[in-house]
Amino acid sequence: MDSIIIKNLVKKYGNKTVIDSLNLNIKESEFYCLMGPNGSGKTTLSSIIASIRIQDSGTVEIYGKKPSEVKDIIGYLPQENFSDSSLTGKENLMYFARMLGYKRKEASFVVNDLIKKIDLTEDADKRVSKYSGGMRKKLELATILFPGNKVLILDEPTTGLDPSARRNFFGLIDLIKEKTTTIILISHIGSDAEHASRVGLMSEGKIIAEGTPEELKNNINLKNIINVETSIKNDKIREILEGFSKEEKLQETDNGYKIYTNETTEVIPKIVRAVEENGYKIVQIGSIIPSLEDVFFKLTGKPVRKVKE
Amino acid sequence: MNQISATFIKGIKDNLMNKSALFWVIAWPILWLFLGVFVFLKDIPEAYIGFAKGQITISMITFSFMISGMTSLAATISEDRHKGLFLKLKSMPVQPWKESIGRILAVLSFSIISIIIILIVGLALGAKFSFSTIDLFKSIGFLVLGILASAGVGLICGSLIKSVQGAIMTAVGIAVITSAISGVFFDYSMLPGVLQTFARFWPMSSANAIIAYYLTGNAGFDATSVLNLSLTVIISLIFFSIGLIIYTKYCWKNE
Repeated sequence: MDSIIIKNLVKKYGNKTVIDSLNLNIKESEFYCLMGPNGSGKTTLSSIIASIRIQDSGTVEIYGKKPSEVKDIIGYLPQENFSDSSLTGKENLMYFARMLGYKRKEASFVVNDLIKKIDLTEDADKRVSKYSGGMRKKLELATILFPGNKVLILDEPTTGLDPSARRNFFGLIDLIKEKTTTIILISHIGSDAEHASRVGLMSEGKIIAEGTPEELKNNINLKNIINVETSIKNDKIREILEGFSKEEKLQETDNGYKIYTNETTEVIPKIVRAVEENGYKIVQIGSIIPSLEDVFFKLTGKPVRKVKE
Repeated sequence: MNQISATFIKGIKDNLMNKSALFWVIAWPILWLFLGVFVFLKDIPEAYIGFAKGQITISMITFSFMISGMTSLAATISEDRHKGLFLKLKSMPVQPWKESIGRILAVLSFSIISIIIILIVGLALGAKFSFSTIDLFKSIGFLVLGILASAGVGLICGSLIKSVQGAIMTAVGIAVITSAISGVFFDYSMLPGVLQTFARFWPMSSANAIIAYYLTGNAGFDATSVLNLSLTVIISLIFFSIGLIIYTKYCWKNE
């Protein structure tokens, strides 16, 4: 059974088309990830599903109804830290519980239950200003876990979190996932998208590829990716490495480059020699397993996230 | 009721925990109350000094509710929008009018708490008032109108100015400048003609004059004329209504 059906969805900001005739079906209890770079339209799409924005044309149905008619079953987690830092964690959850219509006693009961669920019992009475980024995100996640929410939309929930906090966050998501809840994750991070049961890659307002993470990686028919970390990044090194990329696609990374090639790892010594003969130093080199970010790059020729200068 | 009550509780806690709000709304007017009593009223004849202290107390009460309504509301709205709280609330089955009422009630309550504290300090410093029970109730009515008019300005600043600092500074600027030029800080008779006219139309200073007239018998002009009372009621409600409309339009509208 489909919990969300989107047909021919169009959204424009002025003359710019942000969502371009998009069609998407998401099944009940599915964990679906919309992955794409900033500006690809994924946040706009998620905010239309969450009834925050209104489309120019097309339809969005959640269990057969418009999003604005089923707000009581949608839990939306915005990207920003929206909790009140001058209140305690518990006071924040009480606020959202009562905004959802719970009476004081019921709210207190539900909030205590949520605090246990997200493992925040010890810190529930501390002010949010004393929380770490991970704790705060966990608290905000709890605001969408109130009983009755059947569709959860998480917009870039791990932005700004360290790897450990990110792991904890998805551990918590895994707990929720076991129930009959549909989860929509918005992300530009490949490792986050790997947690989903199905991923839609979004570029320029369209879904350009869709499938399980494994299907997407297998479908691009890529044998090998060589990750090269160099002491510096410049046009000359780029030119040398491009010579080894049969696909003529070389992706710049935070610390160097990724070479997409169908050749085996035997090419690695040749790369090292070519770079060093030109007076540059390789810090690290090795073959890596393709990720969803690589799939996106292979399909669009563009990185899913900006690299550090 | 749950949404009104939740917003009210959050709003009042936000204000009571905000040191800056506590300083500007309570400490600053009290400081000026002390300065007024001990510095500016030295040459007043003994027979009038109690009422003069009463007038200064009323002026500081007016300044306090102006800062509370304008600045605190502008700050909380602007901050809530900046951190994405409205996005979150728009996705929930929340009724904007209930949320708005909760916010206004929080400002009203915070202002009343501040007013009571300033009044106690004023009385302790020797402020005198002379009024009938009906005058007292009328004064309370105009006090509430003044708070609502200030809240209207706060709603407008918080909704229209995107930067948090910009919203706060604009609201503080409006409160301080209009207090200075409309007879809240100075006697009405000291104002030039054009500012005397402004003082009658600016709902906060007009409410200040009406309350002073009811409680001390002097406002520098007949503040309780039918025309002045009607203008104050109408303009206060217009400020408040415009504030609410702009708040609903800019903070709650689906794009």
